[in-house]
Amino acid sequence: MIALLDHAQLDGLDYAVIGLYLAAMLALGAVLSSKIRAFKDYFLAGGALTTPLLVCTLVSSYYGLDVTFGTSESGFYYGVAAWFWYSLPYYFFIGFAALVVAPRLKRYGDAMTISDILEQHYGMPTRVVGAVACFVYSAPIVSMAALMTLMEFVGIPTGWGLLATISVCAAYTTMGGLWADAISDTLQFTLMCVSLAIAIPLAVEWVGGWRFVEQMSATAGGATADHFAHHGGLSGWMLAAWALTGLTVLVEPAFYQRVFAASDAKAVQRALLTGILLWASYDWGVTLIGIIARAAVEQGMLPADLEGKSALLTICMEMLPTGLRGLLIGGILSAAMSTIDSYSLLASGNVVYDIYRPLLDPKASDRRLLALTRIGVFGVMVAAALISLLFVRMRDTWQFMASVMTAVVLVPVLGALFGRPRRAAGLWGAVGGFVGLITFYGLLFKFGKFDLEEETFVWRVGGAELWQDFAVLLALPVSIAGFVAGNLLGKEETR
Amino acid sequence: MMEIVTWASVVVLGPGSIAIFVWFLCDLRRIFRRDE
Repeated sequence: MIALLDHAQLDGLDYAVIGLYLAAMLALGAVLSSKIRAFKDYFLAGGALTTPLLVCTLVSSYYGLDVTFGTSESGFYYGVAAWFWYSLPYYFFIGFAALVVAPRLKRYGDAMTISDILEQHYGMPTRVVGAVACFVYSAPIVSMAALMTLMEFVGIPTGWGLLATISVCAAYTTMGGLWADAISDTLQFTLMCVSLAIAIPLAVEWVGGWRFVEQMSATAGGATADHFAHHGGLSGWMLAAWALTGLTVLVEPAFYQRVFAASDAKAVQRALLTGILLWASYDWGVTLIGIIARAAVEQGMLPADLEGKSALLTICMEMLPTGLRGLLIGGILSAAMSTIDSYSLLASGNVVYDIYRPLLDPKASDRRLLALTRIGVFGVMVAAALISLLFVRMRDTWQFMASVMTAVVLVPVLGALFGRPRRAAGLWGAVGGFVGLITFYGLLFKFGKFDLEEETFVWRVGGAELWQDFAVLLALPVSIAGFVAGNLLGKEETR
Repeated sequence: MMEIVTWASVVVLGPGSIAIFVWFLCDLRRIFRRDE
C-alpha cells in the first residue's frame, strides 16, 4: 500500500491544474458579490435560477465525496446491486419530486426554506425542530472528513490543504451566496462529469477489457459470484433499507432551496428530469470503477487488502498519466467543494433565518440577516471540519445525519404538502420520529454487537437481524403514528 | 448490455455535461444582460 501512495503523489503540472481551478473560484465570488443587495439575492439568488444553472447546481451539490466514494465502495463489495438498489430508487423519488412536489412548493410564494413550510402549517415549535434537523443534515461534516481522506491519499498536507480549500470555498460563498455557489457549481459539475467520463474507458482498458465480467461471475460460490446479479446476494430487508434511503430526496434542503430559487416550476422540473440522466450515468461510472477495482484485486493487480472506500482513488491514481491525475483530483475536489459550499450556506441559513430571526430577533433587518448568514457560512465550514475529526466512520456519520432528517421532517412535510393536518400533527410526527430513532440506536448499541465482517452494528432478536442500516425503516412508522395521533387528538386546525 | 450502458454513460457525462455547460454560458449572458 505504501508503494501505491508514493505512486499517487501529484507533480507540478497536477498542482498547476488544481491551483488554476481554485483561483477561478475566487475570481468568480468577487465578480458575483456585486449582484447581492438583499437576503433573498444571497440565499435564493433573487429567485432567478434558470434550467441549465439548476441542472448543474442540483447535480453537483447533491453528489459529493460521500456519494462518489460510497457508491464505488458499494460497487467494490456488492457489484451492480449498488446501482440497482441504492441509486435507482433515488431516480424514482427525484422523478416524483420533480413532477409532484416541485409544483406544489412553488405555491408557497414567500417561502425560502423547509422550516417556512412547517411554520405555515404547524406553528413555531415545529419550525424550530425542523430547522435543527435540517442543520444536523446540512452541516458538511462527512464531506470534510472525505476531503481529509483525499488529501492524505494524494500526499497533500491535510492541515494546509483543508485550510486552502475552506478559505477558497468560504471566500466565494461568503461574497456571492447562492449565485456564486450555483455558478461555481457549473464549473465543478463539468469538471466532475468530464473527469469521470475520461476515467471510465481508461479503467476498462487498464483491467484488460470486459473479460473481467466473465472472470468474476465464473467463480461460483466465490466472493464476487453475485457481483453482476441485481441483488448482489443481499437480503430483501437490506435491499429495502438501501432503497428507502432515497426518501431523503423528498426532504432534501438543497432541493427545496433550489425550487424556491428557480425562475419558475417548469425550470426545476426540466432540471431534475435532465439531472436523473446525469446522476444515473455518474452512479453507473463510479459503481463500475468500484467493480473494476475488485476485479483488479482478484487478478493480483491491486493489493489484496485494498479497502472499498479507497477503490476509486487507487485505481485512478494507478492508471492515469500526469496532468490527467490533476484533472481527476480537481474533479473529485469539485465534487467536495460543490457540496461543502451549498450545504454550509444552507446550514448557516438554518441557524440565522430559521432559528435566530424568529426566536431571538424578529425585527432583524435584511442587512443584519445578510451579514450574519455570511459570517455563519465561514463558521459552519470551520465547525464542520473540527467536528469531522471526532468521527471515525464516514458511512455511519452520514447514515445518522440522513436518518435524523428523514425521521423528523419527512412525515410532517409530506402531510403539509398533501393534506390539511391539524397543527399538533406536525410536532408530534417530528418528535415521534426523533424518539423512534434515538430509541432504536439506544437498543441497538446496548443489545447489538459490532459485526466485523460487515463493519456495522447488528442486533439479533429471536430469528431476526436488525442492522444499523434499518434505522429509518423503524423510525418512520413511529413518526407516522405520532403524526396520526396528533391529527386525531390535536385541537387547533391547520392554517 | 454492460458495454452499451457504460458507453451511454460516457456520452452523457462527457459531451452531455459539456453541452449543458455551453447552454449555461448562453443563458448566463442573458441573465447579466437582464441585470443591466
